Amino acid sequence: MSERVFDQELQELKERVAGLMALVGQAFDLAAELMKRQDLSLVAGIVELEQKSDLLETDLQKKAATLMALHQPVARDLRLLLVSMNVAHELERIADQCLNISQRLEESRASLPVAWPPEIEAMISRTADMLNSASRAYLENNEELASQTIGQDIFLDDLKFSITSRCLDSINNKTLDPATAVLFILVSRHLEKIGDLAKNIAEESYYLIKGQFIKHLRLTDIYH
Amino acid sequence: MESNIIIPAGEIKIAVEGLNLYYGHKQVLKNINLSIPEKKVTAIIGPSGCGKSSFVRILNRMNDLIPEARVEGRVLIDGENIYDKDVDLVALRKKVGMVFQKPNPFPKSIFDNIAYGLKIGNHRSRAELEQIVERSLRQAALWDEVKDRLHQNAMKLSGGQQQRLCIARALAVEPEIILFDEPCSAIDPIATARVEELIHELKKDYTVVIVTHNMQQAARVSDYTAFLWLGELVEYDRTEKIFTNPANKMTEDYITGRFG
Amino acid sequence: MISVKKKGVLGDLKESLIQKIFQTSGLLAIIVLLGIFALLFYTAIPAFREVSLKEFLTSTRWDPTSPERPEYGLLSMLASTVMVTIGALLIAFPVGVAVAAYLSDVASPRVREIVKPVVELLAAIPSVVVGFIGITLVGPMIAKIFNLSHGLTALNGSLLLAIMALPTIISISEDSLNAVPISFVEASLALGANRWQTLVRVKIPAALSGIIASLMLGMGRAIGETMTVLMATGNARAFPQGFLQSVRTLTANIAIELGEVPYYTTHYYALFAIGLVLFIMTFFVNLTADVILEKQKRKLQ
Repeated sequence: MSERVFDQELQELKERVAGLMALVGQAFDLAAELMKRQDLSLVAGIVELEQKSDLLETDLQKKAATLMALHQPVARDLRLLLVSMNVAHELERIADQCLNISQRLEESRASLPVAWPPEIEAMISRTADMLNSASRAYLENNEELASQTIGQDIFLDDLKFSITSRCLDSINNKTLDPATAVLFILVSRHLEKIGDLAKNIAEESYYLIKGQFIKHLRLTDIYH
Repeated sequence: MESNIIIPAGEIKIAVEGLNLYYGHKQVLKNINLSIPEKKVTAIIGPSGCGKSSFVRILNRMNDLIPEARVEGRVLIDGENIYDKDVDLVALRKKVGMVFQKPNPFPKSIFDNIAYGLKIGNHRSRAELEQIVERSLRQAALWDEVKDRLHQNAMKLSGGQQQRLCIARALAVEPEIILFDEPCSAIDPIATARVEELIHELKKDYTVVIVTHNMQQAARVSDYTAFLWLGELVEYDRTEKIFTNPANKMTEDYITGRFG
Repeated sequence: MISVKKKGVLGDLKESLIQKIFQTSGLLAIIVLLGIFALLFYTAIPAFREVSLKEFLTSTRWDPTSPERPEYGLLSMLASTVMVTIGALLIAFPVGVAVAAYLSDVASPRVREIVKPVVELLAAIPSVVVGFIGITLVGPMIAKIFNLSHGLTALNGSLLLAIMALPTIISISEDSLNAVPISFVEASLALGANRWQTLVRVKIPAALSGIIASLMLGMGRAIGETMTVLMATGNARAFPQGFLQSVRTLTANIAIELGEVPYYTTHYYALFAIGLVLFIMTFFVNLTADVILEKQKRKLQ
């Protein structure tokens, strides 16, 4: 099988996605750091990374559209292009969510510092995990990592549900400052959203590898 | 062979069973098993020399022209084996029309080209002939371009028009199956697009088998795609499956241009 | 980097020398042709000092040695030539085309490999030998069949000329049939035509100009043929009345009389005038054949 010019182009596209992944990973790490240290000076970094990711994503979409038009790819090539475009889009939205988290913290600067409930801590680490494994699923064509990532999403949903009801309770019981409770709820929503987006990346990767759409299927369908 | 499709028996127009084709000692097609559905477009793709042209020529027995050709296996059209001894070749070729790689109108008038297949058959009145000529030309989307010059020599038409003329000529004898052997390889892209549109129209009434070396064309016009390689059927599936997620690595490498 | 400038003049010189040589050879053929024509023309002209052109072309009487009044009318001989030629073509053309069709369409490659050289060998038989056959075989057969005193008749000449024209007709007709693109044949068969229909309705019409050209070339051959007709047709000077009579063609007449005629007499010049007529006839027949063949080539491209 000979190396085609198109292969180099696709490789380059994939590297751009990897670059965007790294950038978005940094933004996420920074958001996690911000939550941990609750040092608002970190926000500027997140803003900057989010802007960069926007630009990268736009570039990448242009590049992908060009390849689509010039090479009219089919099969594996077609899937790689389509998936890369979608993954780039999801990554950009993850960066948005990181920015959202930093904005929530800025808005609640009066209540800082806060003690994060264990659910939030758990969500941060699980989201980081999902983001990591989804990225690797895409980069390494790893079908198993893709399925794993998809499987994790349900835990995030549970955690978000649990913290939301707990915060609502504590507002009613007046055991927690309502502003702080709202911060927890909103942050948990952002984290859960990031998990969703990571799951999307994993699903896209699954399509890339297997050629089958598994979005909107139940877990049991995926595991046959 | 990898195939996930099973075409219901009632929809099969052509069934190829255990087909081997030899030219002298050289085996050109190896144990081909393939069911071609009725009123659909089936594309045969594969690199040069894979036997795809030989394969369609099996279906109307044009290979009979080659003295050293030998066929094994069965080719059933509507359940009748066309390689049986009692097959009437004339009837077979009327039922299975063919359009060739290079437009090949006869050096006769447009009218006489279309009427050729009718004239050699049973005699028809002039009025009847005129009616069929018009109908065929309309079907081939050529009527408006030539209606005022039906008695002009067909060789004067452009390449694309000539090819549509050849399609009209094939349609005139009212076949049930039309074989296209790389019909667009000698005409320009705009003419190609018109022929492809035409093929789309044709599948309402005819079973179409098209050989093409242009994979995008196979993707655009066909419902089913068969990939032949070195005389073997590697993969046969619905076209959308072949072009998004082929089951066989070789198919994938071929359609993505990694070899061939 | 490759320079595209010329290197030295030697190559140029060689090139132009070679070109000159070929040019001269080509010109030579034309010069020879023109020379023959000029020779014929200038030797024929003096005949018309004593013979009117009208008499020459319209009189049926040829009697240059008559002591009272020599006569120089070529019409009888012209008619004989035309008659023998047409007779020959009537026989050779259908047979030739049929053989050509057989060779190109029906015969297996092996049969073709044998028959084609044999047909071409037919052209290599010296005309004297064909004349022999006419005297010893064909003529007596004609005499027997038609109950004649002898078989040296126009029919005899036609039959022999037919044999001599056959190779040309077969060979060129077959070439033109083979030049019909296989795609026409395929198209016809794919429309449900059988082999016979394909031959008659597609191949022969497409090859028609070539076939007609073969006819013209065969005709050229027949008009100009001398020895065979001289030996086989009896050489009677009278205006031909039918195929079963002896005739004398233009060529035979020249061959018979030129050996005995005194030089530089009107009779001598008149024989050259006949030669000129023959030359013009064959020239136009061949030219027509060429034009037709050229047309065919363009049509099938």
